Amino acid sequence: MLARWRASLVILLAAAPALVVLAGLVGAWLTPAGDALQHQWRYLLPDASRNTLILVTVVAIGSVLLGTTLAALVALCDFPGRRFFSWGLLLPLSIPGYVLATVFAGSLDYSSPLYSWLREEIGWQWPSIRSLGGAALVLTLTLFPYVYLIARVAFESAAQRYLEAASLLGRTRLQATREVLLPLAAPAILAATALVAMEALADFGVVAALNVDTLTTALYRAWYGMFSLVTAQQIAGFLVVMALLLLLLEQRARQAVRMRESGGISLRRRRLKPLPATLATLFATVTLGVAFAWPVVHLLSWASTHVAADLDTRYWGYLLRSVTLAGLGALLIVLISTLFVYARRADVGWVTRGFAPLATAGYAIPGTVLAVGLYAPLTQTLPWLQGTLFVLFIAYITRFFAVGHAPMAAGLARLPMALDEAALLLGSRPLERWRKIHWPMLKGSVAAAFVLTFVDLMKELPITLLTRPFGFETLAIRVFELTSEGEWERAAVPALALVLAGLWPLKWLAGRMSHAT
Amino acid sequence: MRLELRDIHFRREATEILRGVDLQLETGDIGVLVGPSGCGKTTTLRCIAGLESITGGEIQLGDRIVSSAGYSLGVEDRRVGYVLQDNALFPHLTVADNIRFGLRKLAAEERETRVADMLSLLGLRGLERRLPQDLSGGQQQRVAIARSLAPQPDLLLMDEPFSNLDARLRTELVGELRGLLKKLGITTLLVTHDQHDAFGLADRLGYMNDGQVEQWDTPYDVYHRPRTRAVAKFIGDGVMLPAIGKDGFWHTELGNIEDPAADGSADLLLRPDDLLHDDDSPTQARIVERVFRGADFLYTVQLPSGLRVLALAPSHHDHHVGETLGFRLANDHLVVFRRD
Repeated sequence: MLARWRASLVILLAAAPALVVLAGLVGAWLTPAGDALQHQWRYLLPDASRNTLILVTVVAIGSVLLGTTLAALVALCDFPGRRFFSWGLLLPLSIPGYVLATVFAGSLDYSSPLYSWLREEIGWQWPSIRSLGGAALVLTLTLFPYVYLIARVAFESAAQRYLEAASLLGRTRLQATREVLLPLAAPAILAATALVAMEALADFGVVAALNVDTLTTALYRAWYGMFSLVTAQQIAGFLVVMALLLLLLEQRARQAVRMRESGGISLRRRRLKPLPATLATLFATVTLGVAFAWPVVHLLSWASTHVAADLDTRYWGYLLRSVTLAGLGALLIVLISTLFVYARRADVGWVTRGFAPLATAGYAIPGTVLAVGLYAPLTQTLPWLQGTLFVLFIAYITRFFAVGHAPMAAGLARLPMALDEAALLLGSRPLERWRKIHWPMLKGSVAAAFVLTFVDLMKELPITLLTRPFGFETLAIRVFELTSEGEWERAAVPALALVLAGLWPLKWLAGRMSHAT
Repeated sequence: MRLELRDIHFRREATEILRGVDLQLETGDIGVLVGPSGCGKTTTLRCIAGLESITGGEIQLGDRIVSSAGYSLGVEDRRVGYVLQDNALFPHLTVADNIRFGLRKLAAEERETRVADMLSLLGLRGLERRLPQDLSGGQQQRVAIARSLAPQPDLLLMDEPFSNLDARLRTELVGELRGLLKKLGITTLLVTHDQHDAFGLADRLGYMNDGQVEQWDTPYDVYHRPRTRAVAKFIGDGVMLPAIGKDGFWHTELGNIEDPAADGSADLLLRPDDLLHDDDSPTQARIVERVFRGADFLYTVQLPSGLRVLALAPSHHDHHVGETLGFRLANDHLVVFRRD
């Protein structure tokens, strides 16, 4: 009974921040609108809401088209470079959206050499990257790998026998792909798309860098510019409703994925004829070039010209603060998710079943919303929290809990109760069981959970920006500030550090995503 | 439609999986291939369906060559139905949609009639809107058969169609399936590792080993006149009894057996039903193992030389391990494998 009580407490504590945020938002909506909000309603919100909706829709559609096509090519066909692209197409995940936005803004800006050359020599003016379309492009290029990875795994795990059954019933390979493989992979692709839409909805860095007004930037301005908590919370309410709808969609899709699991011999790839094969290689190369190679080359060349002037002792400070925040945050998340998965395993009572999903749903809530939704109530009740990092960590944990939780839950799932019982019957003590059975089997998951959350936290922007103590600068904040001042080239040095950090967990990320489907 | 395989070779990378497979199946007959796992049974079916391209020989369906070295008619153009192992029902389609999948070339009206026919033929009425995951193993099996039969293929191939079913359901479905296939008159080649299924279904029975068909005959002949030691060993129970041929007799530990051709040294195949229990017989041996099988006992007895043979006894002849058992030879024909 005591164990159950303790387990319920762990789950409740983990779910508490999300509860606080939601309660605050409901409270704000019940508060009558003040002048500030009326101003917002009239002048800002219609545009911001419209932009957010368009952005989310375009990014979702773009990612599905790009991700699914590439996944189908890599999973079902063979063409030159396929093995490289199979993992290479994940590389764009290492570039934070706001870094890509910085590179694009810097290199495609009106005054950039490339743009001037095009305008003067060819007489062609392409549309500005600092627009809604530009933001959609940048977000699609950084988010499509999620769809690519999940769709690829879904295609690859669909058994060869389904294709064979279809061809025995008179279908060509292409028809079989369209009529059987695509519908089979559809739930997984839908889940990935919902995830991408959530990220696009939550994005703050890209739209801020490209001067696009969306709900997240409106929220930021209400919070920072007008100091209107109620307004900020009401905007946050919009965002949360949309996020929860997407979350619902994602969960439903995931349930359908579980019902589609199939075993058997995996697909045999079909070698493409020379022309289609060349086109496939070209398509993958261009995608990877635009989304990864080109920005990295730009960052490197900018960094090389500015490294001497900029890389002074202040940078060690940014780096140290970034690593400390990310390291500490990741450590906390790993610790809490370990407690959490054990509590869930020990107890199947109603508290656990009811609140556990709430704790893992934090990733759906945009960082800006979490920052505002937690900062206000916490600092109002406990004023001495102002100027500390407490709220920042709570928001980190809430938003990135799922990132650390997934590998831990997958790890513990490989450790059935029967194993504990077997050890118990052989007379082992609790500490011995942990040391000899649990730790050896879980340490891989702990490492994965730590690295994945660490890197996500390194790149995190809105929460850090909104809840940090005054003047507290990290690498991500530095990139943001330099970008908003138009100093794109100087942002290259901190941006490169973030990209390098982002390359680290790609191996784990691939593993985690394939577990998720 | 008549099926003929002539000297089929199939190689994957360096491994030669089929090494000259020959068989003929007349229109409307049911052929069954048995053999140890890895012998090439499934590969043979896959070659016939066109899922694999053969590296030598010819496959003829009706009067058309569908496969030869370097040529393979497309799978989708062969008009071959294939019930794949574990069925491969499309999990996202209902029972009716699964059956309908192969019928898109038919007019809508004809298509629906065909689906309805298949549903009632295989006893699936009322399940048309279910998804495969909501069906029992036996029902899934029937849907898979219905789906393959619906386009009225010239040839039906089935790979281990009963492997996921329990014993009772299996016996039931074997009987039903033979009746159904005979009613439709469809030429069928089936692969199984279970000889009881094979005996229940086959007009022609083949034993495959190491990429070749060692014998292709009626089930009766495969059992009673096995051509190789491997066939004798795989089909039915039995023991090899060493014998020396002299003066028109085979001299064995169990007595002398007349055979004008008896000569040299050989092994005689002894089935359990070739040895009958007889308390008065002068041949006695010690029981080392007994299996009660309901209708009869299967005793393993050890001869003085150490050779163990099998003997059948009626169910009420209850003897115990260690006792001696009298029996006599009752074979009506001889299966002789000469030793070289």
